[in-house]
Amino acid sequence: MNSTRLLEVNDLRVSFRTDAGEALAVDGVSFSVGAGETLGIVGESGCGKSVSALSILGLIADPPGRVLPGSSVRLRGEELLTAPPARLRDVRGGEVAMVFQEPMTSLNPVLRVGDQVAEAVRRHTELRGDAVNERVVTLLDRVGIPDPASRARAFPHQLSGGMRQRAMIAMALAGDPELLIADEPTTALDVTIQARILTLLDDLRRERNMALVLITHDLGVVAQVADRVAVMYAGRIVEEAPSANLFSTPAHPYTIGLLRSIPDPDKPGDRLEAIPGSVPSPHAWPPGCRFHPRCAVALDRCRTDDPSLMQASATRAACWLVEEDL
Amino acid sequence: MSRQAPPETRGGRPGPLDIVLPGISALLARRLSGFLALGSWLTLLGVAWFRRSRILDVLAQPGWDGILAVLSLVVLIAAIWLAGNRGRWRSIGSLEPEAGRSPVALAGRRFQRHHQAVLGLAMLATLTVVTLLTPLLAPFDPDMMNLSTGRLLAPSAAHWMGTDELGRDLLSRVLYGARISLVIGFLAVVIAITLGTAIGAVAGYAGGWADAILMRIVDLFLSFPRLVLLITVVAVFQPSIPLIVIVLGLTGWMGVSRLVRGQVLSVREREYVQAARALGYGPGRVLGRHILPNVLTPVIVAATLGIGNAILAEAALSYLGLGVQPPTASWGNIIQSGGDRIIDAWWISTFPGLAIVLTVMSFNLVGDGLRDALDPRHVE
Amino acid sequence: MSEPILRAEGLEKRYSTGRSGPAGLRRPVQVEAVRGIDLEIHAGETLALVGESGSGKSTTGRLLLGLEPPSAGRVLYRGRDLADFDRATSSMFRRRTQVVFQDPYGSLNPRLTVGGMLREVLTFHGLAPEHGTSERVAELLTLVGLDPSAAARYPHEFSGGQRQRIGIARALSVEPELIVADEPVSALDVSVQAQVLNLLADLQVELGLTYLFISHDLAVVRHVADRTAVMFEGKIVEEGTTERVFADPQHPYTRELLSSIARPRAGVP
Repeated sequence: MNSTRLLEVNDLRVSFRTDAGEALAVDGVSFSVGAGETLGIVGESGCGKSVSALSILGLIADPPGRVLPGSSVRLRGEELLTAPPARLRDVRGGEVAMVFQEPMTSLNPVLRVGDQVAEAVRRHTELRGDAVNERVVTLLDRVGIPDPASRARAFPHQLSGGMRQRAMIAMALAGDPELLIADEPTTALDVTIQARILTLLDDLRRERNMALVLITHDLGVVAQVADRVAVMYAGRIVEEAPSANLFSTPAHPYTIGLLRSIPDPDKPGDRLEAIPGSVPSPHAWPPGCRFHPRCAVALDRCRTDDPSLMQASATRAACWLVEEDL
Repeated sequence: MSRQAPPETRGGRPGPLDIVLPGISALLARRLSGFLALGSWLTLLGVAWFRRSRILDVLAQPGWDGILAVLSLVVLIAAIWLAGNRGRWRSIGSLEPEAGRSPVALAGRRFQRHHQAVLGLAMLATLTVVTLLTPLLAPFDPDMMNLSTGRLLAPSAAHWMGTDELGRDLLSRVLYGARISLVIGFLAVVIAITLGTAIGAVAGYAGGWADAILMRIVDLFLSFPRLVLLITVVAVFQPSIPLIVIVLGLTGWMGVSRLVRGQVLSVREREYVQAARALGYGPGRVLGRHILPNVLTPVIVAATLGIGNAILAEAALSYLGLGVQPPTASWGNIIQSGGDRIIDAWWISTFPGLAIVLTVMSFNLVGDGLRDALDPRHVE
Repeated sequence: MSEPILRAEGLEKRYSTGRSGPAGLRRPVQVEAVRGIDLEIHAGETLALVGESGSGKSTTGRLLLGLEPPSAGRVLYRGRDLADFDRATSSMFRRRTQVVFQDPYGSLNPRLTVGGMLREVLTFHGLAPEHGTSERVAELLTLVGLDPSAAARYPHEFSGGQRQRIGIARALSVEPELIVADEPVSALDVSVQAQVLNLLADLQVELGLTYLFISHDLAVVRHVADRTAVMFEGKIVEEGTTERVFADPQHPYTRELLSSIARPRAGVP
């Protein structure tokens, strides 16, 4: 185990001010990523996964959002939450890059794609002049855009969704990052393209020994690419495990419920096992274990005591059942 | 995060004091509405008291004007009292006080947070009330001349805004002028909005030929210079208030129609509109019940700002002598009459000018507040 | 084989989008969304229309519902051409066929309460029973698994899954026989997806409904559909029973589609 992991997030808490009062979107999230590793953060809408990712790079708008004191985000030991703005700007796009879900809105529609990548190259490298253009073409080529020299002159709306996402990835790579955060990178894309983008991300990771944090609601995506998976629910991580373990022996009832409710293309059935109820709002989190109202195997204790992550071999899960089983 | 207690039980303890002084518990809870409710109620009571002799005069010799004013006063006092006590009535009937959740109620709450907008609204409300109560409030008859001793008097305790060149009290003239300006502004905008919305909605929904033709008509109307047209029409026909209203209305609808058309075009493709069509609803119902209510937001904002414009246009016309004709007072023609004397009798032009500025500014403040409050981002 | 409820023959749909070329030589650019489709939907079955974005599947759904006229070809409802329908028949058709949309956030009029919207439907079609519309509204809401108190609330107060249920209630209010579900669960979270899919399955059994299920999600399709048609660039490239299409895909596009489904490795205690 490395003494200093590439990225260490500890006890992250983020609150938002809304019409109905202040609410915690992220409530005590801790995870770490090592160099060259892929961590998948999985959860449904409202669980806080995107907010967690945005906080790493200090991208939470304040107001209405606020990272609460006591939270820590360390990049190779350096605390990012208190870093001066100039340092943060260097980190963004430099050591840590981010790719978003909707490439159409993440790319500036009035600038040519090549110019946008070039801007990133100029910001984060020493290259100037023609060398910049060469690097742009190299990057576009590496992300799998055919005929990169002429595609560089295209505007975003002239490219397909998959191409735009590749262009975004090229921009992210311009600064040769050690960590790439991808927030739902394939959700807006067609199924056949999804697979290719994920493969691309995986290849890039291996080539550059780049760590990858992949945020998604799609368990299938995570299964394809991740080494380790963290499952989030109601602002917390409820299970964390190596990918293989998570899918073969899931520990937390929420994870189990999620896996059961996905229709399996190889096995049609009559009914899916749906998790009853719905995700609680941050204004009204249930007491005790936040999942207990929807849990089929809840104990009495789950109503009153809030479990923290407990170790069970290679898996950690926030569930009293895990403790009991030991 | 606990839910906030209903407003009427927060801050002050409701007691008999609430019945007597409406809004007192809201005031104690440091809510602006409490201050407004109590303040306006007390002010109206004050008006009723200090003008009691005038009220008695009006009741003795009833005229439409006066009766309307007295009735308005009574209704307003009662309404504010009831509104200020709303919380109490609710708790007596033991109904759960529901913070309204309709999109309109939500917008209302967002509006309240803009202090400038609320100020503008307060000013407008005051203006409206003053306009309604003018016969009771005006200290003098606006047409009563005093050619011997009263000409061109500077503002004083007797005449708060001074007198004009014919000895008429300026304050009374400004008050009566307010009615003219507001009525013209309001009616002109009503015409413009109605016409603009109808044309824009049809153009946006029907598309094709109808859209093309209607938009060319809009372009045609847009090429008329509004003020020049106004002047020409009024010069040809006799200036009268209905004429001014009609011409202002007919020249102010084009912007609205484009606005509405754009909105209709985008809302038309929304899935709930397709669902309405899939349910077999005819175009009239789809347009009227499903599209238009979701399109009105920018229209309301445009209307508010438009009233300000219409008031300015009327003032300009009257200033040119082509608007409201003397002896009827309107802000524009009062300014005109004081134009030559701006040095020695500055008050004649200044006060109505100030009135216009404050009125138009309040409409603009309210319009801005509405624009933010009704932002469709929040609704969906 | 019984007469199909809906049948498409040679359906085509072209849109013209803008003009290309310099001002003097403008030619309208045509987009061919649907390029010749033949399709049949039989009573009681669930037919899935699968494809990626731009395949024309949603447009086909709209054509089948008569929401848009085809550029060529025809749609037959129980043997009768939609284009020949007079007002009364059209109205009847509208009641027999309904639609559920993808986007729970755009599919409900934000200005109407849930109850208001449902009442409008009932009153418009004269479906209000003697004991009043409120009862029927409550019935519909319960049918889709919502509490009747939802009738007093506005769409923005509900979650995505709940809004989708409301959309289903709206479709059911006219007592249709066929429902076109256009990506009904794509915008929902996985756990909510399962709930809505179960609901649709239950309703099919309870009310004897026929579904045209449009989706890009193959796993969902495998689960719900009896027959599957695969669309690619405006044409149907493969069609058959779901089992056969998944087990033995013939067309290369179908094969590519199937191979790119990301599967969580199975194994649940």
